[in-house]
Amino acid sequence: MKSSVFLEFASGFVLRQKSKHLNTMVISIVLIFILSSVMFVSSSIKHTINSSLNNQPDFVITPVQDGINQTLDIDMVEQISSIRGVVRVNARVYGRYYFRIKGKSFLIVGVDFFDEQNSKLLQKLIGDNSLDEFFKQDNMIVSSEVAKFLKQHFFDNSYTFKLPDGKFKSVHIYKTIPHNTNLIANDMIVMPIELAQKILGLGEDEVTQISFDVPNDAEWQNIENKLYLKFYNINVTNKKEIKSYYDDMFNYKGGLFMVLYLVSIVTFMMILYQRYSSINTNDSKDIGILRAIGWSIKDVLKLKFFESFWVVMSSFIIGVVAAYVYVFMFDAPLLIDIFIGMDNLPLDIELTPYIDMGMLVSLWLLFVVPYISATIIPSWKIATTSATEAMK
Amino acid sequence: MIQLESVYKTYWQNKDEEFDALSDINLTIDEGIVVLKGISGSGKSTLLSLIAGFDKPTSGKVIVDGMPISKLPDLHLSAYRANKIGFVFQHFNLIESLSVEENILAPLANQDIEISQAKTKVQKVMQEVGISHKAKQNIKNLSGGEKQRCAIARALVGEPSVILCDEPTANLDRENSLKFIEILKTLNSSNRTIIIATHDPIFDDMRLEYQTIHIHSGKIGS
Repeated sequence: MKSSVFLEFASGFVLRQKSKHLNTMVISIVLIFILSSVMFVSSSIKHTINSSLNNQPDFVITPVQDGINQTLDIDMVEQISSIRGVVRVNARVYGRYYFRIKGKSFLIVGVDFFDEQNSKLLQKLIGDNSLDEFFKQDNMIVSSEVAKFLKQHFFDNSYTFKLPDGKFKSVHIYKTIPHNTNLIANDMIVMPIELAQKILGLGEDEVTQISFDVPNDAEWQNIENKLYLKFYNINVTNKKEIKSYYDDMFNYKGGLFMVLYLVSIVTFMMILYQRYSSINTNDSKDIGILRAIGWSIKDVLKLKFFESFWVVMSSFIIGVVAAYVYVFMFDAPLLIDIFIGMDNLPLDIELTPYIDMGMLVSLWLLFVVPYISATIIPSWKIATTSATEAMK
Repeated sequence: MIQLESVYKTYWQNKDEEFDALSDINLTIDEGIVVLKGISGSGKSTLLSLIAGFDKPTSGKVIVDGMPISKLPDLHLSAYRANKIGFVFQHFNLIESLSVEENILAPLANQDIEISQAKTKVQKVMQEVGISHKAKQNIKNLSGGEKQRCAIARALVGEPSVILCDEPTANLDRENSLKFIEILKTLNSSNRTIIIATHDPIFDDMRLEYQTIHIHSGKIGS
């Protein structure tokens, strides 16, 4: 068959010229590796955050008066519940507790452990033990980083909080939140709402957030409008806004990288084009020889396409696989710090393997198409000149 | 049969300065060996280029087996070169990075042919010219004579009816030149047209039947 003789010849042609392609391949692999790593980190973080947000309530109300954070009255729970279309209304307490000696702070989250929505999640954390067991004493669930930090400061099993009235409150560490949630719960301490109110100096009727669900998406805007009419001192945030905030944040960081590396790719392609435009004497001679022995322009371009495709696909596959290993097996050392920054507590996260195929295809197109064009166009120029000229 | 009718080939060195490489060439070449003789720059290579279809005449017709090749579009011209012409260049023009057998396979790589058939053809021509023992060798590692034999094998592999040799012995020592002429003798027996452009007197000394055409300053002489 025609194709098999061609493939036999073309394979020999490419493999015999490995050294010619080595430099180009090394640069291509590095570029693809960096771009894919950025893309993998960015999509993995976004995927993790989106998955976490799926378990969150549709709306969160926070108090705002003249730009100053206030508290909400727990009675609002009933008022909000009375709005038609609103379900699962919950009060919660969010606040920072400062560990002043080291200049660190923890995020205290007080929730109603007996609420239907919270209880499923908390039951997972508590494990087989019943809630009664949890409530036998003052217990809290801390993130793995908080646990590590407290242990470093000799608080292995419990921590004594200093309350706003000067008294002390010892709270037992009941469980550690799994390491894979560090991205959203790095400095988090979860405890019963009443305990959180005490530690943060809030009254029994004061909460910092009220969450609720609106199952009918089409009603979201109406409910928001109703809330703003009913309460003047609140800010309503829905899940989509939070999701788009995170998306924007990581798209921005990933985008910066993409811009930088797109510039690198464009530069690389220009160098490549330049290199193949002033196509070296051997390449030009080879094309001339092939034309002289009866190859058409189409045949020459087919060979050059095969050659470029082989180089660029090998580079692409090696680069992407290396990036996958670097990101998902070694958790992208160095790169991850640029993405998530240094948090209040050191952020040690595990990146969940997740590949955005759309992004991967875009990257493929972004790299492979210009690469092949940059190498094919100069070859085409040579192939269209006279064979004797090309062989000189 | 190769016919050239009122063929002119003019090159422009500057905008105004023209150089007639060939002038009013009228020629008919049948089967057998034809030696084009003339000093360097007389137009021998240009004539071969026109017959091979590497270049087109400024005016006139080049007709090979009834086909006016100077009028053919590129795709048909490539097919003509692949099927009818085998060219042996003065400087061999082999692909340096490939092996001997890969170079010889090259003319078949764009043909509609089975891989096994192609390999058999390659083996056959390598044996004919005595280069089989170097099949896997890279071109870079061959001597001038071996490169020449590889170039001949590549010219023969497509079983062309016309073989064109441009100064085939110019880069060879006497021993290898004699070997080349021995190969020519074997090729002559197979109903081909072989045109050799040369100014090497070695062809005069050999017992080889051939027609001689003299070219002088782009014109056919006596």
